[in-house]
Amino acid sequence: MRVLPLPAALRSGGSGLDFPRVLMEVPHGRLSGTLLVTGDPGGRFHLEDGVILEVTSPGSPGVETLLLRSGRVTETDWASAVRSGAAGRRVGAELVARELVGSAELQLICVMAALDGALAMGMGRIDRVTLDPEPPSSFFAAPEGIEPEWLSHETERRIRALGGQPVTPFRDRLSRTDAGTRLLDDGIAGERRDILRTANGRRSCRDIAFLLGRGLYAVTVETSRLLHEGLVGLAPSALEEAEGSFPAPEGDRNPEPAGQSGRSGNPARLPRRRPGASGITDVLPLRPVSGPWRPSTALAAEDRRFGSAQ
Amino acid sequence: MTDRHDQLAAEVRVLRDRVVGVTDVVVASVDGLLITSETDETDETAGAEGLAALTAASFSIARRAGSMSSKGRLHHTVSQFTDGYLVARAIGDMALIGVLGDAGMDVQRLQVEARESAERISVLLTATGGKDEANHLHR
Repeated sequence: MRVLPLPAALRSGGSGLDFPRVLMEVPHGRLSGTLLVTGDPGGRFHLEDGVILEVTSPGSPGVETLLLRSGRVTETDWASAVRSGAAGRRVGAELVARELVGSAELQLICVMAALDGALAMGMGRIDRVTLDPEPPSSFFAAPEGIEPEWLSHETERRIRALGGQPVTPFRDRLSRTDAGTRLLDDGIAGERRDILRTANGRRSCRDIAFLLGRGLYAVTVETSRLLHEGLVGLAPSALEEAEGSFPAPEGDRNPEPAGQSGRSGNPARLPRRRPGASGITDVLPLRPVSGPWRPSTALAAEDRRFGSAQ
Repeated sequence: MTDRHDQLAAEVRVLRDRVVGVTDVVVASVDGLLITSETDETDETAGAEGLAALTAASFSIARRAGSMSSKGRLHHTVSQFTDGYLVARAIGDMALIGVLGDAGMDVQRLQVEARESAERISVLLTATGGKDEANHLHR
């Protein structure tokens, strides 16, 4: 394993918009191996001959979660495919061979998971990037692979789009407002209902995405809309509450009791960004996301391209 | 005492917030008595007391297995399920910490953070007089 020279954009503080450049600046021409991104949440890029097979991150649901939690594949079928996959065949290929998932569908889900994984890493903190040149042990290789340049550009676009939103995918925990509860009681359908149902003050967009088996980006975008409409609110995090007063049980303690230094109770806190403050929504207006996940225009175009290549 | 309880509660909340994917945290005595928790009471899961009891029971079995096979002291256990993890870690000889997480939980990061949390919680528990005090801390 070797440590790659970090692009200048990543050295200071490390998070944010320029992260996708890391894939552009490493020698990925015919790169095979695993690019390990250490940080919070961090993650891995599995590459083979310069093509991305899979992207995984604790910050976003992987292919397994998307397939199982959404009910596309049953747990029994899954266990059976894993047993066969253990003999050397990748589980994804096994699922396709058993006609449990179509090849194009698997490709789209892999692309979606890869975009979410790159998004999670890009929006989090990046400490360093290392390359493990061993062949990647990818469970869910995208059947057609994923082009690093395309993934980088699309991830960057998504990060920019979410950068203008008032909610972050990991740290902000969502609570349903009274208006949200009324709407839920009135009986709404689709993804909005699911998000409202699960927004209990303890879960972030990332947690809800895992719980529902939906994409991180789609859930975050829809949550931004719910927040804008006043149907959900942001709950203060324990880290913010404990800021400056914890840990060190034997040391000096902040006289301010926990629970009073939360986001809403301290007027000295920096103001929060509101939707459209950066003007990004003028360029990339929010689209409603309802019902099952649908590929974006870019993904659909990618699907057609992959389809035509077969 | 309230201060101690607040510090314990804050400690488990911070652990939940520091590690991506953690959903519930309990601190329990080795016999399964709940000391403090940060759990989702709105969910249809076992609840804090049930989680504390089950975590302590499974940890105890693993500890006995290690003892029988002369493997020494048990530090932690990791149970992986289709939809998540249950990680238990010893806090000294008298208590343990149980962490539930979803399928994406960063287990390696949790091990680092939980080890540090366990040390701080151990200081809090021993400073309050051990297990007897833990009974008072139990809400």
